[in-house]
Amino acid sequence: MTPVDLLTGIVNRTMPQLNFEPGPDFVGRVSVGKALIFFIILAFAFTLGKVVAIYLKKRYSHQIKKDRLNLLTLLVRVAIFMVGFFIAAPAVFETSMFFLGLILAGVIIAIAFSSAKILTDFVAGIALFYDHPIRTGDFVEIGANSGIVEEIRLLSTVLRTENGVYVRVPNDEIYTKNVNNYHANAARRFDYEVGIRYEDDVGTAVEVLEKLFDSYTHVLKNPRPEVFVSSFDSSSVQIKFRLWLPAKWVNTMDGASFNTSALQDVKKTLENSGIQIAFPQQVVWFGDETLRQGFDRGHL
Amino acid sequence: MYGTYHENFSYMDPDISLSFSGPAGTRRYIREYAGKRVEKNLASDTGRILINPVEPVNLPDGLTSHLEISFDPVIIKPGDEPFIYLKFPVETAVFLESGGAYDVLDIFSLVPTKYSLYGLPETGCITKWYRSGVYTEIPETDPLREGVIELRFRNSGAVWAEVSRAVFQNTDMHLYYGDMVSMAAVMEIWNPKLARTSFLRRPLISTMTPSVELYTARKIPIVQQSGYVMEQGIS
Repeated sequence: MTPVDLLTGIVNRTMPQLNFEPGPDFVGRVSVGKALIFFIILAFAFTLGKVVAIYLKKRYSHQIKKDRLNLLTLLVRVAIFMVGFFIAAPAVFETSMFFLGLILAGVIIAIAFSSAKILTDFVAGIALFYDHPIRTGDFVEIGANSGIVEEIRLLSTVLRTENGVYVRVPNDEIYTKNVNNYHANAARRFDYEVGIRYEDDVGTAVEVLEKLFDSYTHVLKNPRPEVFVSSFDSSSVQIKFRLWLPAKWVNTMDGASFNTSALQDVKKTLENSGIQIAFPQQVVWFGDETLRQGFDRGHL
Repeated sequence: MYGTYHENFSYMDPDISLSFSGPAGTRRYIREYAGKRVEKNLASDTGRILINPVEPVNLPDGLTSHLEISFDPVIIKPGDEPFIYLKFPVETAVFLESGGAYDVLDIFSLVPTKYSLYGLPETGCITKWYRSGVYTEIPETDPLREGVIELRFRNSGAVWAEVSRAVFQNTDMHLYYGDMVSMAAVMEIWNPKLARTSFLRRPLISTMTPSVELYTARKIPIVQQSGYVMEQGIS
C-alpha cells in the first residue's frame, strides 16, 4: 500500500461525503454556473468588507488613531472575506467546512514553518493592537533605536528618528526588547544642575530661578518646579532644579527642545542678579605670615 | 473687536493691532502683538470675517483640551447649590465664513499661558492653568483678555466639600460675547474627591451673542458628552 492509498483510505473513512476515489469527481462536479456563484459571493464579501471598512473609518476616525483604525478595518475586511469564502466554497465544491478548515490549517502551518519570523511579527502586531504599549506620535526608544512612532503596521512599526531617518522595527522586537515610551505618561521630569560661588547668596539664587521657571509656559505649575541646594562641591554650591514638562511637548530623550533656551536663561538670570557660575579654584593658606606678605608683594 | 465684518477694517489697541486691507481677491490680514507680526494674503474673495472668543485651550501648542481654574478654597455644605464667578483667559479666533462654512484664519491670546498637570503623571492630564479670584458678583474684565465664568456648585454628597479648582473639557464649552465674554458651568460634587463639570448653553446677560466655537467651526464630530469627571480631586 502506497502512502497516497493510505491517505485516501483515511480521508474516505473520516469524511465519506468527499468520496476521494480517483477520478474526475472532485473537480469535475464544479460547473461553470457554480464557479460563477462562487466568485459572485466572494466579490460580494469583498465589497461588503470595503463598505464596512469605510463605515468604520467614518464612524471612528476621531476616536481611534489612524494606524489602529487601519489595522482594525483590515482585520474586519479579512474576516468578512473569509466568512464569504466559507459560505461559498462548501456549496460550490460540495465539500465540508471541516475539510476547508483542514486546508486553512495546512496553509497556516506551511506559512509557520516556512516563515516563522513573519508569523511572530504578525502575532506581535495583533498583540500591539490590543496591548498598545506604543501609539503613533509617541516618542519611544526600542533597543538601539529611538524616535517618533510614525505607523504601526501588522508586521512592523515605523519610527522617525530625531535626525529624520526612517527606521522599520519588526513588531516581534517590540515584545522581545525593552521599550521606553517617553509619551506614555502625561508629564516628564527633567533634572538640571548649576554651581554658584560660595560667596553668592543661595537664597537669592533659588528665588530668581523659581521666578524664571514660573514665567515659562511649558514648565508645569503642578508639580511645582523644585529648586534646591543639592551638594557642596570643592569649588561651588550645587543648585539642582527639577522641572516637569508636558511629555508630548518634548520629542527628544534629553529634553533638548527645552534646555536650548532654558539653560541659557538660567545663566543670564543668575548673572543679572550678581550671582556667578563657579569655576574650579583653590584657596592657599600660608602658615607663616611673612611668607604670605612676600607672596603678596610678588617676591615669591 | 468682536463681531462680523463684511469689508476691510482695522483695530488698534496699545497692545495689539489687527487689520484687513486691500481689494477683494487680494486682501491682506495683518496682526501685530508683542513684537510678532502675522501676515496672510487672501487670494480668494473672503466673504464674511468673524472675530469671536473661542475655547481657551488652543494656545500655544494645542497640547491639551482641558482648562483648569485655580482659586481660593470655597466650602460648600451638603445639598447646597451656591454659585461664584471666576475669570478665565480669553483666546480669540479670526474666522473666514463663506456659505455657512467657517475656516480659522488666526487664533491669538493676550494673556500669558501656563500649563499644569491635573492628577498624577501616569493617570492625570495636562491642563491649561489659570489663577482666578473668587467673585460673588460679575467682575469687571477686559473682554479681549479675560472672560467670566459663572460656576454653580451642587453638593450632592453627604459631607462638606472644599473646592479650590475646577477642570473643564473643551468639547462642551459654550461662549458668549458682548461687553464681556462669558460661560456658565455647573460642578456637581459627589464627594470631596470626585465631581463633574459641565457647561450650560446660556449667556450671563441675555443680549450677548453666542460664539462660533472651534469644535463647531471645524465640524469635529463629538460623542455626546456629559461633562468632565474630576477624578483627581477638587482641592
